[in-house]
Amino acid sequence: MKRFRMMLLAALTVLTLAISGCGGGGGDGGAGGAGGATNPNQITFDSSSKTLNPLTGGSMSAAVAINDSGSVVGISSDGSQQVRGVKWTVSTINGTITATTELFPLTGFNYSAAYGINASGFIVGESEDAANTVVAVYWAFNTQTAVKLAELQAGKNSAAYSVSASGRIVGEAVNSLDKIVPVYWRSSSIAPVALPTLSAGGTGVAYGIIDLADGSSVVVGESDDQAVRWKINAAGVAQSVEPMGTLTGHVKSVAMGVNRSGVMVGESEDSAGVVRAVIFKDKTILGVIIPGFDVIDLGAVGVKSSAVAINDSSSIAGWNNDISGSSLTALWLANASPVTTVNNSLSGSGGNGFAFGINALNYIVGVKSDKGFVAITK
Amino acid sequence: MGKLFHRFHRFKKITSFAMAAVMFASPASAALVSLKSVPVPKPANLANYVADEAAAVRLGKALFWDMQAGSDGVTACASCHFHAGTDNRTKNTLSPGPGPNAVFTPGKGVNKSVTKTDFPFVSFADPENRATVRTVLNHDVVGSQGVNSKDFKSIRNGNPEDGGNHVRNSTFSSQGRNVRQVTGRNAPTVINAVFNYANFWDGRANHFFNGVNPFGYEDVDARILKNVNGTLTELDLSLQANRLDNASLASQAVGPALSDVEMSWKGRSFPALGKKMLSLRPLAQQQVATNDSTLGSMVHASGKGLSTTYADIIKAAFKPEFWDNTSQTVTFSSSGKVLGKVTPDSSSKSILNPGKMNVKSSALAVVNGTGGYSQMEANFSFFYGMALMLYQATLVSDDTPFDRFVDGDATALTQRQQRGLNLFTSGGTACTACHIGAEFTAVSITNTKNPAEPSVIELMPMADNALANYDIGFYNVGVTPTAEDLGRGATDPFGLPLSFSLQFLNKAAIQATKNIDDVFFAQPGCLNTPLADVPRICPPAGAAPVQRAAVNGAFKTPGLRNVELTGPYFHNGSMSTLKQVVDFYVRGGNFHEDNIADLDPFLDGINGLRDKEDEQAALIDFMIALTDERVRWERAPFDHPQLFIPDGHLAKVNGDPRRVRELGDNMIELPAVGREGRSQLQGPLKPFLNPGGDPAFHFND
Repeated sequence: MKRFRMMLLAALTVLTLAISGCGGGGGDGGAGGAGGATNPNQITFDSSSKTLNPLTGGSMSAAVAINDSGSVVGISSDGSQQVRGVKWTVSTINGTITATTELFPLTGFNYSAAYGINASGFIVGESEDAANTVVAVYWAFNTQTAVKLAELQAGKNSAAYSVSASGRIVGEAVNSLDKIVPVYWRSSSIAPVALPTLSAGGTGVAYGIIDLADGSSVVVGESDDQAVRWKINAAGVAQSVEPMGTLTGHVKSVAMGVNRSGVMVGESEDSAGVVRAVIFKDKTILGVIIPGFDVIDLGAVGVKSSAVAINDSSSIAGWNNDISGSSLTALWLANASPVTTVNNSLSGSGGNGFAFGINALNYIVGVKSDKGFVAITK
Repeated sequence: MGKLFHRFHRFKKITSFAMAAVMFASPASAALVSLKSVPVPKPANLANYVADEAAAVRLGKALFWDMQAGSDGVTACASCHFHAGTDNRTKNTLSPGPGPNAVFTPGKGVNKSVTKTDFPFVSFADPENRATVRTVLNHDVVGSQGVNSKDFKSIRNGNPEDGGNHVRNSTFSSQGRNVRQVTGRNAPTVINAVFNYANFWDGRANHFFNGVNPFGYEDVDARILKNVNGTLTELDLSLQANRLDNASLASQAVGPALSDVEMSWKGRSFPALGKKMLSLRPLAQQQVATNDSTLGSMVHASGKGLSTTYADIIKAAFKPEFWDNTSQTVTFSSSGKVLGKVTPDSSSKSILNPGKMNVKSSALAVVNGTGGYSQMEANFSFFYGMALMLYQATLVSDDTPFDRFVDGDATALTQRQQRGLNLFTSGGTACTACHIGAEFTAVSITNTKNPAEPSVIELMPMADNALANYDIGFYNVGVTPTAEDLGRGATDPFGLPLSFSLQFLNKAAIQATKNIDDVFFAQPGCLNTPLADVPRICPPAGAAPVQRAAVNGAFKTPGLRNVELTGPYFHNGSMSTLKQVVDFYVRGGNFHEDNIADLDPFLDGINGLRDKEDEQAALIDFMIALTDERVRWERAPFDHPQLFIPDGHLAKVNGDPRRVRELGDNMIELPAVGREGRSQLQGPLKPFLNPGGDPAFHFND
């Protein structure tokens, strides 16, 4: 009994920390560091978002992730309409944006894309490689030269989507059976391992990773069309896969982001293909974590929505469709009860907008009308 | 045998020397007939299945143009057959050709546009002399863009887009993302295709429809379901009493719908497609003209789609026993790909696929796509094939200047066109050796079933002077190296040769493993040349059958009607103007010597046209007289609903770049056209790569 009370006390402590938004470390744009407002009414943005311009001559850009220093990564077309990985830097003091910096593909190739950046400015993504393959790469801090991450299967495609503060990387790779499987690189210099899938020979993708204070990490993604979580222990070893379920009656789900409190976000899809933004949380009884997950619906009935990134203040970035079917960038506050939709058009009115990343300052990045944007808090 | 060779080659020699005289002979109009005089072929047993043919035509037209039929909710049958029955897109239309190891010609590739200067794909220093050096050698194919690579997961009721998982495609990808795959052969026109004994370039769309897939009797397990006194019973359409002949277009229609390049994500079944389409309003995303010649009376109040359901049109079109069972459902234990046996039928055939199809009470059925197909869903491939065949049977272009001329209007053809007609029918050009009859193809049902043609397998000395069996209407003319695309010489998914000739030569081995009736094995016959003064070439009396087949690299002879508008030409779409085609025949092909063992003996070059630009122009001008103005202006029956067509890709990603693994489509709109056709503002259809309508276009190299 005494042992149970101690567990309960510990669990309550964890819960309290989660609600207050405390926590250490930092991940990519899907899991910024601690800080920022916890009261939805205190989050206000500049009147209009700022465009993250494409490379010279390019017609398209999209921002995927942002770190707490204001470094933003994503993609842009160049003057030849080739897609390249790019980086922008947004001043956290006055919101000014630096010129777009190209993150080059592997030497001799044309395509690259940047998807994740950690607090140290270490960037991960993908590059074209030989034989028309696309492989996972990284760009070290302040460099523009892509370095190939070790392959799961030589000559097959791979991609890196997220990097944690300690340099752990997750993504996807094609295995020897030509299946796309979730993969994890313990560091940029170590060969990847395939993360477990829900079924033997199954498929999956790992989209997000965040380090916890004890040296372990949490990875989220999907396997066999179900949102899943993997834990990485302090020694860097991947544990088993945990299915997180769907909204009642739904058939698919995916988890895209996680914060250090263990709150995960993503989407759940019904049989007609309509997706709804959701939060995945460990089930608890009196604060004690028990097996299973709660799947909390953030979306409005009848329209599509998706929650893509969450910071340690439990601010969630994503998108909502309006009744006309246009998508609007969205921000939710997961620690309000019920969860509050704060803003439905962070990228401004008109045109399709999607938010993909959020940092500790509640800066939100994404794409609207084929151009990257950043929404900056006042 | 020696006498046979002698006679044939004496004929070739005579025709060569007699060229000039023949060219100036009067048109062989007595032997020429209008297509109006040719009955539109239909299955003799049609009335056993179809209750209302007009309703079936409505169903076929709706399905043919409905973008919801594609797994992506975008790709319709019509997406590759929207311009004079074919495809005139120029961006992202290149394929490296058939075969897993095919690679694009350097400098070409995905999402590129083709231009006039890319054609022809094989050029010679002297275009009329194949002995000169090849100056261009491009092995790519101009095909049609279909769907992105995905694995099919499930349909999503009420959603035109199927559920699927991304599969990276190492060939059709750009900017780290898949682009729409492109077919390995050029899209033939569907106009007048009903007259073909077999369809597709390799003729794999069988003359006899099995109700399930293109392969007719070659698939011994194909079955549809008939409701007999409340019990679902299999029906084998290969049995004599059930047989659907003249139905190659039905066989053809069920191919692309499940092709994981053309319309479907990999692994989709026809019952699943049926379940989806039955849950959607026909053409719901597309405007339909209120004066559409077929669908006008059914247009929804919104102007988009029809105010009916596919189920209701099926019920109107087909006999109840093929859809009215409501007490049982069908499940498929092998991912629903092949319809197997339900209960033993009256045939003596062995059950080769036991357990693939199970019937149970509908009360036990699982709803929403996880199993338990209704009879209507399970038979959807049958309805789809039959309805599309009957719709396309209305697409007959029989009102051309040529038709009017041979019907007695001497002014219908200009003097130059009449001279071109003379050339076309002359022995010197030998055009009519393959492009015979009112259909302008030897693969027509008229020709293959002509009592004077003793078989669909014929015998002749090929270009290498050795006798060989070949399939009527299928010829290797040296467009591509034989091994690059075997065409008629390939095998079907069941391991059987596509060609009648190889089926005959391998009959014993085939019947040892497949229960295929003798009646389906053709016997070799004689060659009837289209030239009256040449004797028939028959197997020597009493001699053992010739064991050689010349079918590799052979392709269906296309009809030439509307040829002005149906470029690019040949199975690989490698020529863009009719002048390039004429040059090709004048020089005797691109790969004459390379393909000699299978080459059509008439591909010997046309010496009489060499350096005769005026004569060549007359020949081209005659071919332009094969255009039906109703086709050019899309007047009934060639009118159609609105269609949005993917036309290459933009350098953009529609959504989260980590998850969206397809480049954004560049969509173009084909507006709905009613029975009166295109407006003057829209203008007529133009030839491929000739959007400005330059009248000299086809006369240029």
